This record gives sequence, C-alpha cells and structure tokens, in this order.
Amino acid sequence: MKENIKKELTRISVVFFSMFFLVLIAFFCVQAQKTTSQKKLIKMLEKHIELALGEYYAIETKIDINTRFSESLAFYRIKNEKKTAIAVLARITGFSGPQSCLFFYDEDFTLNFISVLAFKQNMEYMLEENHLDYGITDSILDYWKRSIQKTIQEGGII
Amino acid sequence: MKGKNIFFIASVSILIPATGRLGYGIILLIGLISINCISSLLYIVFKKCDVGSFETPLQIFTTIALTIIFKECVRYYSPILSFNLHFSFYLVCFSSFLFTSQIKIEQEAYAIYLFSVLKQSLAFSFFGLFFFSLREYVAYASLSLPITQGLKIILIPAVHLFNGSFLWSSTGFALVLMAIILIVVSAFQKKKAKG
Repeated sequence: MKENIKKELTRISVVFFSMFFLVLIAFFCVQAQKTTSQKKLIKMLEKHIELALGEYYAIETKIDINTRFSESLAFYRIKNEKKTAIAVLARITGFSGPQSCLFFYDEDFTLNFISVLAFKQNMEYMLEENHLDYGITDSILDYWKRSIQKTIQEGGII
Repeated sequence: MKGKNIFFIASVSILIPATGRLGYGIILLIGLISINCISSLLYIVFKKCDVGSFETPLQIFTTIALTIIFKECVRYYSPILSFNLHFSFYLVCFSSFLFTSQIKIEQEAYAIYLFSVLKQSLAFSFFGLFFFSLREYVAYASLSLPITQGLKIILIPAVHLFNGSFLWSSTGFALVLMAIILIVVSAFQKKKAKG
C-alpha cells in the first residue's frame, strides 16, 4: 500500500516539476527577448517609413491598447521636427495568408496605407499599389482602415 | 493508411494557411523538426519516469511550451517575421503533436522511436520545401529566404503562364495544388503496386 502511494507521489511530482520547469523556461524566453526584439522592430520600421515617406520619423513609444484587434495591430507614436503622427503595423489576412501592412495616421486625422511589408528589394515596387498581389483586396483594406480608425478613437490615442 | 492520413492532416494544417513564401516555410519547417526532436526526447524521459496516464497531457503541454520557446527565438531573430507568422506557429504545434503521438515506443526501443520521428519530420520537411518553393515561384516568380529584416527575395526568370497574381498565391490555390500533388502521388503508387 505504502509502496503504491510512494510511486503515485513520485509520478505526480515528476509531472508537476516538468510542467513548472517548461513554463519557467517559456516565461524566461518571453521576458529575455522582449526589449531586444522591440528595439529591432522599431529600427526597421523607422527605416521603412523614411524610405516610404521621404522624411525621417523617430518612433517615440509603442502605444498599448486593449481592444479585440490588439493581437493584430501595433501602434507607434512617431515624431520629427515638424509633426507628430501615428504609425500602425497591422497583420492583415487576405486571400494569400497573413501579411504585415504599414499605415500612417497623421495630424489631419486621415489614415493612409503605406505598403505591404513584403521586403521586396526594389522599394519602388513595394510602394506601388500592389496589395492585390498579396491577396489583399480593396474591400479588405477598407475594412481594416475602418477598424484601425475605430480603435484609435476608442482607445483614446488622439 | 493511418500514417498517410496524418501526413495529409499535418500538411493541410501547416502548408495551406501559411503565406506562400519559401522564407516563411523554412522557419515553420525548422520549427517542426526541432519541436518534434525535443518533444520526442522528453517523451522518452517521461516514459522512463513511468508517468502512466499523464503521458498524453504532458506530451501536449511539452509541445505547446516548446512552440512558445521557438516562437520567442524567431521573434528574437526577426520580430517582423514572428509578427507575420503569429498563428501559424500554433499550427506547427498541432502538426508536431500528430507526428510524435502516432508513433508509439515499442519494448523500450527508444532509438528506433527517435529515428522514425526524425525520418518522418525530414520527409515532410522536404515535401514542405518543395511545396512552398512551387507556390512562391508560381505566384511571385521568386524564392525567398528568412533574414533579420524580413525576407530576402531572389527573383528568378518568370514563365509567362504564371504571371504573378493573387489567385496563384491564394490559400484556395494552395489547396488545389495539394490535391493535384496527392492525386499524382497516389496514382503513381497504385501503378507501382500493380506493376
């Protein structure tokens, strides 16, 4: 009887400790790379915005909003000497699977689609109206534009 | 037959919903191989510890935890690729569980178990690489590689029949392509069995 209880306890402790250990490693991984990956992403976005808009904007902060779109949208407050604006990184699922797209929300309260971040080496090609090539139709784009604007207003960003 | 079905389900879950770019495929397939190998090693450890009825829940838990760790590694390497792939990582998790759970350890033959998991993962990965390359070539006339800034696109000469269009890169086309490949493979296998 005692032997059985001992065996069962060992079994449960192995299960518990292995689960705890795995959660600990996963948590450590998430925390360890958070800042580094955010820095890398910001640097990349700054470069892309500069190439696309022809003027340099520095990303000030990442704006955290809790909405149903939070998983697919990332908002960044961007600034240069002349004006302040908001850059929106959106993961849009079109006919060809998910694609990340960049939007620009400026002082005139208009939301402009910049490009699909497809990283074609030819920047001119990327800035053409080629979102259909990536399975993103105009109606999908309009839906996301409305959703982003709604999120910006509801989230109290502006 | 069971093995073939699992191969098909795993294919559909990873290869169809993902964006039709080889670069994304490479990351997903590296994830599949590494998660399969580590989770099968841990499965052997659990088997040795004799966890009994906790085996399957632990295996599922291990696969999910390994997927999270892999996702974070990809985010560290390239945040934009991780942002784009997002949900696809959890499809890898599903496929990985299918691969590791269908093979059972028989009479403590751990090496054979590990070898068969690795063999299946590699076979699937080669098929996946071929599928992603074909999809990208047909849709965009290019091949891509994952780099820190996203994807490095290598343009290759296009055939006029395959003008880059969203129809070719769409999920629906991927499903049609998969069906065509399966029909060809099964017809070939039938012919081989007869002759």
